[in-house]
Amino acid sequence: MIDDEKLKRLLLQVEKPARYLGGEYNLPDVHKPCDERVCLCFADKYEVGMSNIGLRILYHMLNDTDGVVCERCFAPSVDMAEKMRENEIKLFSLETRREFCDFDIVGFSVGFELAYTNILYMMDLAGVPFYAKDRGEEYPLIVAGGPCMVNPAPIADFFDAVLVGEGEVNLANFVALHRECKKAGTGKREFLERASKLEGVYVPSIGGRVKRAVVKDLDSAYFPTKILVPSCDIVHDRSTLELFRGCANGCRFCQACFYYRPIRERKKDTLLKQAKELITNTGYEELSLSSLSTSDYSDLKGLVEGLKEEAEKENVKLALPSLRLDSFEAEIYEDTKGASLTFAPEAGTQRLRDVINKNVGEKDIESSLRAALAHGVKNVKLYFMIGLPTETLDDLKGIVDIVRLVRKLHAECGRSKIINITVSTAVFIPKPLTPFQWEAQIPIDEMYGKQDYLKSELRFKNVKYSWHDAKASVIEAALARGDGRQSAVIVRAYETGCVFDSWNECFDYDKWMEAFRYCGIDPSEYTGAIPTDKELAWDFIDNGVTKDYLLKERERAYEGVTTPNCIGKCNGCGANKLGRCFQ
Amino acid sequence: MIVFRHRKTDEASFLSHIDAMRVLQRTMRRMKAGVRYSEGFVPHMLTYSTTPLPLGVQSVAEYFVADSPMTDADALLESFNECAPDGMRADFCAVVAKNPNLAANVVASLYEVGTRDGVPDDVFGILDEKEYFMKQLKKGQELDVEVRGKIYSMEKEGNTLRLTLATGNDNLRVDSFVASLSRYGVRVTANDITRVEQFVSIGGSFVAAKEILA
Repeated sequence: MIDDEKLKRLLLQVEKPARYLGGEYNLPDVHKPCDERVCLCFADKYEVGMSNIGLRILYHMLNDTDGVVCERCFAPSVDMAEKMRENEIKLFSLETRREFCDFDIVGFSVGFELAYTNILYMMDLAGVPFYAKDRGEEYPLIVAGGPCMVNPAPIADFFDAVLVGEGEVNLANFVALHRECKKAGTGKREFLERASKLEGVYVPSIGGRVKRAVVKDLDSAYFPTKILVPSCDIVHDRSTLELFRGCANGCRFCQACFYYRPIRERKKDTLLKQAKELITNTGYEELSLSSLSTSDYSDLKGLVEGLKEEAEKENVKLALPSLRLDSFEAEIYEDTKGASLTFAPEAGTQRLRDVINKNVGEKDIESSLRAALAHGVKNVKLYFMIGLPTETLDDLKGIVDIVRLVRKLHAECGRSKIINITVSTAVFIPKPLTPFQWEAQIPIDEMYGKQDYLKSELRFKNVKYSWHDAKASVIEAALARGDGRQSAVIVRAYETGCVFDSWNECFDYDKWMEAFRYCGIDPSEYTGAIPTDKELAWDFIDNGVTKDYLLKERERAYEGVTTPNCIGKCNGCGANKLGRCFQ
Repeated sequence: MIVFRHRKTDEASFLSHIDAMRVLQRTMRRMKAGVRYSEGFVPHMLTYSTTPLPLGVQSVAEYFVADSPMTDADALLESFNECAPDGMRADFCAVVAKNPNLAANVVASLYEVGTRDGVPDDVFGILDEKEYFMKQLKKGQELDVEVRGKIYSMEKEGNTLRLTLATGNDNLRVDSFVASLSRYGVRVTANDITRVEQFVSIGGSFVAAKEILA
């Protein structure tokens, strides 16, 4: 364990020391008798990791298991890492300040490709070798999970095991098996052989196929309501209800939509009970509803009414993210007293929206905006993507037209004097497990050209345009569809100083490109178009949704044909073989 | 109005003032203390505190006031300690008719500074001087500031240095002052300092804030 006095002296020299101390309200009993110690790591700063609902669920789930203690570890800031190295302090857990080697299992939640170097950064600070093959019995089992496991190939070599799918199933089973093996004195190798047979567990050193693990019945699945309440500010500092997993809309660029299928809802009564407990147990001022498309929840109106009653009583603000334009309900909006609204048309023209299967018509956009503005909305945020397959200049002009439309509608019916419009564009990144997984990403010069066009055309009063970094999008795309050869690139990038790549101020494109060159790999091999008959690095994972379905969707995209939302009628994507959609 | 005297020790001593206030407001919410809100466009909880502590300095005598209609001080104290994080538990609660405005009325604090190597006697020579200059950061600039008038007392008890320093509107930052004592060989960090009481001035004498609230 880390020397507390030494640590406290060091903390006075770094920014936001509260990040490294734990001590939050609702801390589980981590001193209870236990035979298994797990450390859950998030490869980003405390304030980002503590906002992650997946980590929150798994942390409390493990701590609510008799005989298991789970602690947390986040990536320390660069200033803290420097001090830790100077003082020979290894990376430690927040709860009891234990080092990695004091745990049985260290699990990384990996949600973003640009966090890959942070995994190595944390391993380095912990003093453990990067590659699983170099770690003997004296090291803990180091495993990975989270959304990036849709294609774990670039980082698989760093881990003893990769947990594909939902942690409530595969992490729980993995920990249970390890406890059994530990009692029996089973060695690491034999344990991993047995673990590789568990649902949703892939052991890179053994290989084979793996089927994604999913929670069959979300309504009765574990969901913590006595959650940690951080003492310092975090990104999403509020309690969150998880309405459902998966998304019925099938936007063809969206990985989350397909990855989280089958679509499973929690019942309204369950959610209302959880909301009440969260409000009582946390003291949070805000409650948000989480899902990929909140307005698709089967009884949103009933749920909001129920929540509103409880929230008003307790002075809690309701936050409703992820509203789709086509199902925007002004009545709900009015009730939640918002003054800003976020819409994501994603593409500027109906033609391109049909290509990407964003089932939002021009009339939907107009009527929804009209309703929102009539209800006093003062800030409108519009999200788009550039570089989508088949995009032309007309589609970019369409973005400008939508902004003009908002201004016109505001002039006609706006209750407020000023309307602030924020337009954000992301660069399209072809992601695994989407109908666009074989598409090329547009070249970087084209990204800049399109951003420059929008910069020049969106010069209206009270309109702000922001765009994602083109260079970071290139590296994200290369890693997203990467293969096993890339582990060397990631190591090289880390060794040359790449860390916190998802933070604009830290990202260094030139170092990444140098790392690719050093390893003799051309990143355009990964960002370019992939022939549909080529084997993909993630083909060994059965994610539910079939390749045939994705190919069919791709063909429909090029024909400009939309696929309807699958709430009413199953489109046969294949996800329901993992678990039943729409319980 | 309800007033708590709470600690800010261990992990909590590394919380900024704004974070600590948020923690206390959430404690009030968990307690269901019924604290009133302002009636502006963005309502905020009506709570008040004393002069913020520098980061890392510990305290067993922080005061927190909330505009609540609750009247059972014992029940409130028990509830506070169930709902606050470990490092911020309270040892005192009072119900008062109106806001005691401690931010304005507290004029001094007693601090204990734990030293490893003892307190050299020549430190107390400061009390014989008319002036005492120390470095202080003001608007990003390090300035030499004369603070003798803000040092009310200095004593030692074993290896502990006890200081009474000006607090509130004419505040003397205890961490800066203690850092200035390094010229006498006193080497401690902010975390070795604990505020043990805050005082109001009554008839020219210092009276513990707790006394006027009880």
